Amino acid sequence: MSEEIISHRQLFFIIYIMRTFVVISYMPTLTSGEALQDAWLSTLVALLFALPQVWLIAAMGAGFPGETVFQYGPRLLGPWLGRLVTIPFLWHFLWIASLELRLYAEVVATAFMVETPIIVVVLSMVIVAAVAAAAGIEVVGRLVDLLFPLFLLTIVLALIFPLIKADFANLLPVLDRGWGPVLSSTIIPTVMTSQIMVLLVIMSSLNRPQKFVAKALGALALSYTTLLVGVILVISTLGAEEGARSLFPFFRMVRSISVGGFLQRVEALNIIPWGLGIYIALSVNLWSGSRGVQQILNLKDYRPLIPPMAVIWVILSIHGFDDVFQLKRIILPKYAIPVNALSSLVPLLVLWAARIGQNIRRWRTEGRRK
Amino acid sequence: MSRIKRGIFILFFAETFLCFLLGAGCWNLREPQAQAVVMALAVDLDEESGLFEVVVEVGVPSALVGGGDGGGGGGGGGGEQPSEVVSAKGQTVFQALRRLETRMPRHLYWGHNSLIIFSEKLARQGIAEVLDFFERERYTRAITRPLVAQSDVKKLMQVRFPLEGTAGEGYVSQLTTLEASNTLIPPGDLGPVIMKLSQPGIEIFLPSVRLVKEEGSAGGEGGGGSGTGGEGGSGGGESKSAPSYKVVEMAGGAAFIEDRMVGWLGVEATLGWLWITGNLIRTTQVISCPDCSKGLSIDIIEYTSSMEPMISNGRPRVKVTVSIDGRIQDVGCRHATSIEQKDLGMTLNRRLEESVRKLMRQALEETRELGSDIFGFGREFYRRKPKEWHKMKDNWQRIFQEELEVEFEVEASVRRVGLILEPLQIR
Amino acid sequence: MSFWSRFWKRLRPRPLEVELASDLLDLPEREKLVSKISLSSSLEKNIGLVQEALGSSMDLNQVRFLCGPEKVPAAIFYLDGMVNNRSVEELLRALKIDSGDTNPGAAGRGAIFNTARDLLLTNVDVKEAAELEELLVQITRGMVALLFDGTDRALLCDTRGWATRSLQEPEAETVIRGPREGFVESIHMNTALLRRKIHSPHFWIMEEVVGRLTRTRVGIAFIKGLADEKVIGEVRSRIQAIDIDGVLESNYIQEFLSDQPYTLFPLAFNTERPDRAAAALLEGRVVVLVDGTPFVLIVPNDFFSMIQAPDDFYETFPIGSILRALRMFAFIVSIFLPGFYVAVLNYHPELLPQVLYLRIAASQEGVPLPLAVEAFLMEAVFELLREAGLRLPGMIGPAISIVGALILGDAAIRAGIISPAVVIIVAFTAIASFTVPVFSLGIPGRIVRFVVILFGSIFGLLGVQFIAMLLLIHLCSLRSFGLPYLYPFAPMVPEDMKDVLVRRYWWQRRYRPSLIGRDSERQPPGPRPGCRRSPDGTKRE
Repeated sequence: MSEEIISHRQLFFIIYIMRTFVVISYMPTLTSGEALQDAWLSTLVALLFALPQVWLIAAMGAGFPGETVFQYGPRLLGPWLGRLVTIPFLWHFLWIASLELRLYAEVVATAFMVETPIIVVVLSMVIVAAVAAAAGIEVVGRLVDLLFPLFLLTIVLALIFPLIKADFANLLPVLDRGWGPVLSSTIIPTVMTSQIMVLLVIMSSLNRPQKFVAKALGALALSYTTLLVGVILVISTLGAEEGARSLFPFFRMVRSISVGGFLQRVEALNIIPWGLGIYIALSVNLWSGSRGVQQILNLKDYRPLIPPMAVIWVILSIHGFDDVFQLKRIILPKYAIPVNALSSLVPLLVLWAARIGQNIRRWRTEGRRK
Repeated sequence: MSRIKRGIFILFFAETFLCFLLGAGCWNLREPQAQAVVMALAVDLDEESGLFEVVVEVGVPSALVGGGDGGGGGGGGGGEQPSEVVSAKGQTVFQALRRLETRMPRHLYWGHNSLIIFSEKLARQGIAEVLDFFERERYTRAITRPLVAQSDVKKLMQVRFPLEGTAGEGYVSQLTTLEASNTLIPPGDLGPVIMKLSQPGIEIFLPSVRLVKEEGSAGGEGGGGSGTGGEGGSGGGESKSAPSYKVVEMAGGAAFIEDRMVGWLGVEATLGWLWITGNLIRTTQVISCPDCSKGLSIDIIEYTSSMEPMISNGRPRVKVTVSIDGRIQDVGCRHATSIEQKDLGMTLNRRLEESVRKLMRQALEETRELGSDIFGFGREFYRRKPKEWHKMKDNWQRIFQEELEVEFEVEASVRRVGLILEPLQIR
Repeated sequence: MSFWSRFWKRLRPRPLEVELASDLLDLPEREKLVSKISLSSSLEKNIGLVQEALGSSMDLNQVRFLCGPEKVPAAIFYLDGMVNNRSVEELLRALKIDSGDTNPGAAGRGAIFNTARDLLLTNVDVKEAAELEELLVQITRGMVALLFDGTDRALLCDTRGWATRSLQEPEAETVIRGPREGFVESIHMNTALLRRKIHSPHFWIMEEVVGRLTRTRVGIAFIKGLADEKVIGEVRSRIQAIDIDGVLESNYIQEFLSDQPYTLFPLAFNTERPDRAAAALLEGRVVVLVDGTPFVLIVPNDFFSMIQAPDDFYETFPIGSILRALRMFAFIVSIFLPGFYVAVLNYHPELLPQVLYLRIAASQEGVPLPLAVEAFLMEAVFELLREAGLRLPGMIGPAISIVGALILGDAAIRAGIISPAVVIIVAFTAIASFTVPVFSLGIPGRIVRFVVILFGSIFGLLGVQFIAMLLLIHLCSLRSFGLPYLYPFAPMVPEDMKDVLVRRYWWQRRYRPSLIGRDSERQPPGPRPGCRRSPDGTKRE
């Protein structure tokens, strides 16, 4: 199998796109919890909470250049335990990706193609993602290089136009209910940061992963900054209460843009980055998942695994959630936290424990030798 | 690729292709010629049955555009009406709309609708349900402009505007023109309305519209508004000799408490509201000349307006500060006195300030009568003095009506006089 | 031959000695037979062999004469039309007349051969051949074969000369400013055209011969030390691996060279212009010349090179950059516009301003066909017209397509079958597609356009997005001889991007594209023209 290499810059873009499109689309700091007009504070706090998470993930990947978590997991913990511990990651990729897929498909079905059965939308996404994943992470990297400017441009435009009607006074009063509500809104975004877990697999394709940790943090910071601006604008244009009760606040804000009487109906500005983001996120997840399965089962090539995984995906996103309410509910803390923790955080911490243990043993033996 | 797979692929594509060719289209396909483009929507309440009645104006594209190309069916010149008005009733807004569709040969297309008119009856009962429909339905947008009707809704929908094709277009352009040049109505679309509904301490204030004349005849301005404070007159739409043209006036607005209308506000009160909230875009104030009773118009170019809530002596108080920059547009007096004289200038400024203060006081009075805080004083308290607001919020309507002290501080300066200094000299 | 005659042929016993002229042999057997024959010492026998092998073709000319002081019988063979008559006359003069002046050699008849070769013949290229096959091949190349009685070898003299097209500007790639030469069909002249642009001794052209029957000469040109050795090696080995009966055009070779043969996008750039080929060589690319066609191939190829026109480099920076951006935009428009139009009108009309939508809806009233079918049909009609315009001779062709389009379009609108908006869209798309400077890039555009209309009409903008993504993924995954197809953008190489997006001034272009050749520096960091010199004349700002 040929070596697939992506560059630091491409990975930076991938992380940024993956994180940003999710948060921009449904703005968890605003729509979850009770922060309301203090949601921007929640965003900042959520960033603080998210950074250590990302550090844990990126530093893990940086410690084993050229290998994915499924390769060094067994090495750290022994063949059986290692495999057992890393399998939850696969589930995690699957779960997160089908959630995002369903979210996007819901948007399209609600706001765009109302009568189209949702399977059509889901299929079109998955087919593209499968093709991209089969082409390899290198191709995805090139795709990201190409599409990132467009992604950024549409988001920037979508953030600039509402400035005209924005009433920043909506952000007042600040902290009138104290920090409690602020913190309550940080739970979900922090939990959802675990989508970056794919980094554990992708980092194997970097040529110098050690230098990447700083960039990963930077990508996350940039993404949250974008969210911050978005949150502020949404609160200023829609009002804090309206923003909090919408399913997709950014989308609503973009719909209400009306500049000079002719620049209206610019929803495309929101749909484009959304669509791009979902394609990238899906292909990355699919690629990581199939690589994972390939490595756990010691198969020769991951490409044949892609179609069956894609099918599982489609089924999961459609039948996993019966209606929009379920979709919303699963993002609530009481479900999201345990699922996430078990499928991503816990295995990660176990791996870290093993790694630290290994390091300690190494120091001790080296010390003895000296 | 095995033959079976290949066969399946070919079959799939052939079927897709066929489907496409036959124009069966897919689930969401909406051919332009199969759509009835809704240009304006009005919702009324039928009192006896308690049902919603929706009135819809549908544009006829070929008549609107004119037969320039000579092809594609009808259109062109004279005979055809540019739009049709249809109505239906139902228990909910959506049901009424569905019933409406049974009366149309085509599917209703909302994407370009930019106007919604609420009848007074409906407004007094509450517009929340209509707004809910608006928010949920994917084709309707928050950039729709609302109006509250003082006249019969159906007649309003049938108005023919001289320069625009359909009533919907006409209303919207009248609204936007008014806003830009001569604001007499609360500006803005449904977005801020919905936002204000959800915010504490502020009530919504929607523009009003009414028919002034039934039969048209040349000249003749509509009534409404007079006196020193405001400029009366119709908001647009000249009348023509053809009997189907009517004059539509947009001046003033309807004040609400929560989502129910409580009363109308006249032109002066509306102007006062515009001054206080800073929503005024362009206007002209008429003050009287220092010596005679003739009028002098001052075009307001720039101004700033702010509200400051405070608690003084345990009582809530709001200070409204306005500073104005004006330009003389029209001088009615014929005296040779140069208006450039310093003390005259001072008088001018003082008079201007007083006239603006008068407007603002009138606005406050009328809204206090209705009990509706459309200025957002409460919201200012919420924003800047949240602790005090929490104590007051349950009683806010009463506090607004009785306890709140409002102080108006106006500072005006008329800087420019146009192209000539002295009034026209007639010897 | 029909199955039965072949069948009977195989049943009949073969004579042991089969004549070359026999009708019983099919081509591979003939080739095998010919390759086994060597020349004999007898002139008569040799003449007979040659005539039989060539089937006494009508253009085979033979001149017999006596040569030298010993009056040795000799003969020359050549193909009429392939030789330069003056050279042949010179040859004959040397052999018939001048040979008389030479000393009779003591070595006997064989001496005349050596005398001829060393003293008499003044052709630029004289070779020897002992095998019949070699002799025949060279005769077909336009050499003159010289046979002496008593010698079992032949001399082959280069007298090639044939009619060829004069240098004209290529029709498909015109420029406003720049050289107006184009390659011609003779590889001989094409190499000369390249040499005239690059006088460096490091400019090498390696020869390969491809095609069993056509024996086409193929030249692989590159600048040694600048072009990537791996690419050169790969090109050579792929060409050497071609085993086909004939190569008539460079496309035959292009398909063999292609890394991914199933893609619509050209992985090798073909051009008729020597200046383009030379520019590519200077970047470190490899040029493949094929005898018989004026189109040369350039590898490795990337997408953005095809959007550039040579004009960009001959005009100044602002206009070059603007035009380049315009072309890129036009290319995208030509693929997506009809599909986009169909998708927006049918599925997302709210994206259009109200007035525009009403106008289009008005023009659509009464038209019997669904919008999508209209668009598809009009595009198909347009392709028809375009093809017809190409095939009609000379002047009539373009005129008829224009007239046809106008009349058809107008009549269709009047009859109410097509709406004018669709006609506008289709015409605009067509014009946009003509701005692509390289025809082979227009081809994928034309095909994909229809697919986009299909998906746009079924799934709206979602479908257009779907196809666009698939297309992008495909483009991102293409590589041409190791160079990623979307080169400065796909793996983003910022320094090189500057040169693709905008066209910088020549004095700014310091580096060659970094992934193509080996040596990066095109010119040392130099001063801007028009700057001042420092007082002592050495430093410049």
